Amino acid sequence: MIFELQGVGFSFDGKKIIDGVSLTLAPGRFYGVVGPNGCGKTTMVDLLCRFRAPQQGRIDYNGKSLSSFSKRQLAREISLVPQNFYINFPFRVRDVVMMGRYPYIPRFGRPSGRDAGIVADVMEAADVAGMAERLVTELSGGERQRVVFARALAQDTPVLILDEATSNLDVGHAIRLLGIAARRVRRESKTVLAVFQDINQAAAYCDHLLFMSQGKIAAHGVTRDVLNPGTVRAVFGVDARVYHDDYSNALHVVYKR
Amino acid sequence: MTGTPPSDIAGRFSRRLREAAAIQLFVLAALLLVLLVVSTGMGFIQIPAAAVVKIILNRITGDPQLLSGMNEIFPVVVTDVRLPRILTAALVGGGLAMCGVTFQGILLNPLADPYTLGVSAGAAFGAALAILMNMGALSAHSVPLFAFIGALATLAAVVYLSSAGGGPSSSNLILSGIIVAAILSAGISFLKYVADEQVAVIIFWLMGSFASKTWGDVALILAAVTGGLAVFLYFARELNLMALGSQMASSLGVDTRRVTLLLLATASLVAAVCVSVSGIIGFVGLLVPHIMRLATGPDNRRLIPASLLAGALLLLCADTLTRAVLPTEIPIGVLTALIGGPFFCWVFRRQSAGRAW
Repeated sequence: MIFELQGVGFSFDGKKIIDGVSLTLAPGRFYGVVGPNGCGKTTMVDLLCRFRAPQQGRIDYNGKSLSSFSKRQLAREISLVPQNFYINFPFRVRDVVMMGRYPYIPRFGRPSGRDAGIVADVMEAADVAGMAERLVTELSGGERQRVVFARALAQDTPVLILDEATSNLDVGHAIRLLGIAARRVRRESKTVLAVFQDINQAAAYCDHLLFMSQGKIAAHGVTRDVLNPGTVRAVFGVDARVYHDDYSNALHVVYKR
Repeated sequence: MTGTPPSDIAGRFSRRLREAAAIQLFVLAALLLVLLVVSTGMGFIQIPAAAVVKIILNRITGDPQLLSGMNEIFPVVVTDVRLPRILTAALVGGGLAMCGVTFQGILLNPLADPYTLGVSAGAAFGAALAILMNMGALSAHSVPLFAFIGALATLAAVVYLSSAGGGPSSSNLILSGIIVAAILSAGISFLKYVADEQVAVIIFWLMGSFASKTWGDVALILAAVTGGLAVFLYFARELNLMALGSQMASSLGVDTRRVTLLLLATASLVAAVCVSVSGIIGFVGLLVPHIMRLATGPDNRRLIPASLLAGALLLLCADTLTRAVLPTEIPIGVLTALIGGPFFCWVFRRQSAGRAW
């Protein structure tokens, strides 16, 4: 198991954000996390990439306590595309993507030809190669998110965590980037855990879904097993119909207004 | 573009960048060296540049041959009067500029400067207290010492104040700095009010000066600046990653909490030493990183050494101007603000106009 959580709890100002979550995640799968605003999705992401430490319980990564890894080791295991980011300094797009290789380059070393090759490849894949020499401060929100996504791909880790990583993207780029992530899961047995706002997007790409509600896991399992009107009703309080859509070959949810 | 593998293009491109960076540093260093010699020759007693070089070489090599046939007063003026002041000015300028880079990087705010966390207000309060209690009569070092203690105590208070909610975030730090500085400036006003005839001394100290600096001052600042430079260069790459926000920096292997505190403490320490020796000199720490970022780009591995050299150059120019060019000596802090302020407005307008948003 790549992640094993036992009774993990995290509170902030006396309010329980994550409330006794126990969970195992297997490698080589595309996990989707969905849930209403403020249910603890982003805190869960912060705990998994050790930006925050759990106050109760423990998190194991590949059978070893997550806290036993050094920051640098971890940076070679888990990469993150965060929900919120801001870059106040005018770095060039190429430089930001190259930062994904820092965990592999010695402190005072220089990028090798291999690093440069990887950076060129992921920039091509994320469709940011054309803006390599532009300043990130001058990009639009969606363009910047693609750059940050490319940076995470350049990190080339076994685990990729996406926190609403396609929230600012047009549909074309969203499909393109999620497709890259899905291919890495299928071909290279990488593990992807992605937080989604859009359940249909999650259903289209994820093998497994985790429904979160009030800091707990409300439902967890294979997408076609857990994605049903009952779960959507229980978690979001919305009446919905779920059906298999032939065109996208995935489950599809429509809501009652 | 045909047939060249992308890694080759990238390699060639980054090589060109590095060469450009090396040239920039070389030009800055050369300019600084020339200015050091020219400035040493300028003043009430004009000394030719060749004589200055000979005197400096004589002090290094000890070869008495170099001084033969020279006006006897020249070596005294150069080594005992001018060089300590000139080197102090250059080192303080470099120190403030490189601390400005670090503060801007850590606080994710291009408008931060070495005084953002209240270091200058703390130093000013300490110095004013020492002057008021007539500590200067005890020893020449007591005013700088009090200024230094004031700066450090302020830093500790600001970090303590800002770390209440789960670690010092950049907005917490800036807010705490403003609050503490506001309280301290009220305190300084009070000290000035009760100071009576001492008030002129306090005001003069606050405006900053390099007059009558000694080799002891040079050694102190040299130690602080080299120590700070070593720490900043060691963590320059982490500082780059911090520009992406602490969450992303953390996922790229940076211990953000530790690096933040370490760099803030180091930068404040260096700034505190600078302030305690020279008084409050504004705008160097804000302006120089800003201008140099236009020349070198935001990569701190290049920006830090370039800003160090440019800061030294700038403050040495300003000090030479007030010491040897202007008919009367204007306090250096006033001069840097008078020149730096409007110039900064111009840079800021230009930059804002050029931005897409």
